[in-house]
Amino acid sequence: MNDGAAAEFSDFAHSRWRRLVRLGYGLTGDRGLAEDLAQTALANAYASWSRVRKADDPDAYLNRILLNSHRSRFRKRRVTEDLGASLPEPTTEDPASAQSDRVTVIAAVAALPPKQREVVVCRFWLDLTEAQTAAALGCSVGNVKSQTSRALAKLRDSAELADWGAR
Amino acid sequence: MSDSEAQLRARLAAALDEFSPGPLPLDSVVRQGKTVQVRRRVSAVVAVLLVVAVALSAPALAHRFGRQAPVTPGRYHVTVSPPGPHSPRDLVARGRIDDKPWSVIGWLPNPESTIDACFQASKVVCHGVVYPADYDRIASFPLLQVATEIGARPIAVIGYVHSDVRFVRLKLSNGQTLTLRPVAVFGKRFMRYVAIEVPFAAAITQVQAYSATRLLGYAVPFASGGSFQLVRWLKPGQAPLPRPAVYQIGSGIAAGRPWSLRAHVGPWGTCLTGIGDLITCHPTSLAGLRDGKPAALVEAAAGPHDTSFGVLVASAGVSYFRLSTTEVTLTTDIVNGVRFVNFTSTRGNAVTRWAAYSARGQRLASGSVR
Repeated sequence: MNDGAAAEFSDFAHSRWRRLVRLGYGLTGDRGLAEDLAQTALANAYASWSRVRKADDPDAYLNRILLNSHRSRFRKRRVTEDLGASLPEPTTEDPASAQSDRVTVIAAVAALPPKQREVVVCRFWLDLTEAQTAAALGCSVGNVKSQTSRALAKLRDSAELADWGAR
Repeated sequence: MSDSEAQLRARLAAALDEFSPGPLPLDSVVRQGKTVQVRRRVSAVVAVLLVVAVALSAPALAHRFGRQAPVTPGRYHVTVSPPGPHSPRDLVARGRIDDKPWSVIGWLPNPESTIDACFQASKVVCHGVVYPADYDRIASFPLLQVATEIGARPIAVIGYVHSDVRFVRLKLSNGQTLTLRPVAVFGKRFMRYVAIEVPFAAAITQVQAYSATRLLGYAVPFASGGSFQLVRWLKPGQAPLPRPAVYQIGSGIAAGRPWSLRAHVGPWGTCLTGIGDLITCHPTSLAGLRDGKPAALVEAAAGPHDTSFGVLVASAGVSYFRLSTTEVTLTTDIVNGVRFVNFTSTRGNAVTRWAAYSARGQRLASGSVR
């Protein structure tokens, strides 16, 4: 990669870093893992930079890399991964504070099965349509609809979001 | 959207927006990226070695690696066959160029992801993302998107087709017409691919995409300097097409290195060459490079020692440009009635932004050079 391309990649990486880490955080509920996933996504983008910079939608490309990295990480660590609702974060803040609400929402999403979690983050945080979500996750639109429906039902029943719908 | 969905969207957005990540570890990203590059190259080499090993152990295939005789333009014969019922699952197509057999085999270097799709022909050719079969319903895709290895002889042309396409017909410079059948080489969930190997890039003179019942569109490829690009798809019967012409639209010396930008205009659109190995194509005429804007940057590159050079195209309403550095040489050329302004900056003064102004000082357009 020449100096111009390196500078171009640096600008690109800086402009996408926060969004990617947040996407990773939505998927994992863990800051360290989120930063690892974002770093992996950007490293893959670096390795394919000539293609990424020409892509019609580089963000869709990055989303897909990150989602694939998340899945392969999950597959490799299926046995040991703890998908419980408790987060490796302090939860001692004032329950009324925004910080506490953040932890509550992320904990509820983290408690969902992986596929439902991915669908929720794609649909309700990335604001992707059902068709775009299906493309990003490599599944059918029908599958996205059913996973969304199940995820919403679980969130309604979850203890973390017991007040959901009352607000 | 239900209230509960809207509420979840709002709370999730608030939760994630409040979360502040640490700084970007750019050095680690670059190091990891270089490791990924090396791993991919090793995968490609291993795949090539496997194919060679298979070919050497199968005498029927071995002679395909023999020396290719030089091909005279117009005096060659190409055949192509789709995979048969007993063909390997990863075969996209096979055939012959004169008496030499060729085949194109697809594989995913990283089976856990669909980020790369690579093909073994006479050389390895890789595409980016393998798109889901129905992705063209939500994103705009051409009828056929191809990738090639620039400068290869023979050259493999490999591409994925729009879901409406049932077959692709090629016209060759020797008068042959060949039909390619798309193959779901990575499974039915993903886009289908076609492939062919021809003796040189300019051998394919026209590409037509058909549905089951009719011609959907056709394209005249841009084949220059060993590259092969499909840029502009024309509707059936759409004419007239511009006659091919080459225009010199900018040149200079940046940090001691000469550069020269040429526009190749023809039925393929406009392709710009002459800045390094870069070939940029637009499905427009020369004037269409502005894309309806008062001014646009059509090509730029960073030179050594923090210099830059590039070309802007401007409408008659643009009176002057301002660039992010004053240490710059500006030259204006009128090429076939279109006004181009090229810039070259001095050492340590790379141009990062530009803006176009009217005679009254009104800012008409602006942009980044990177």
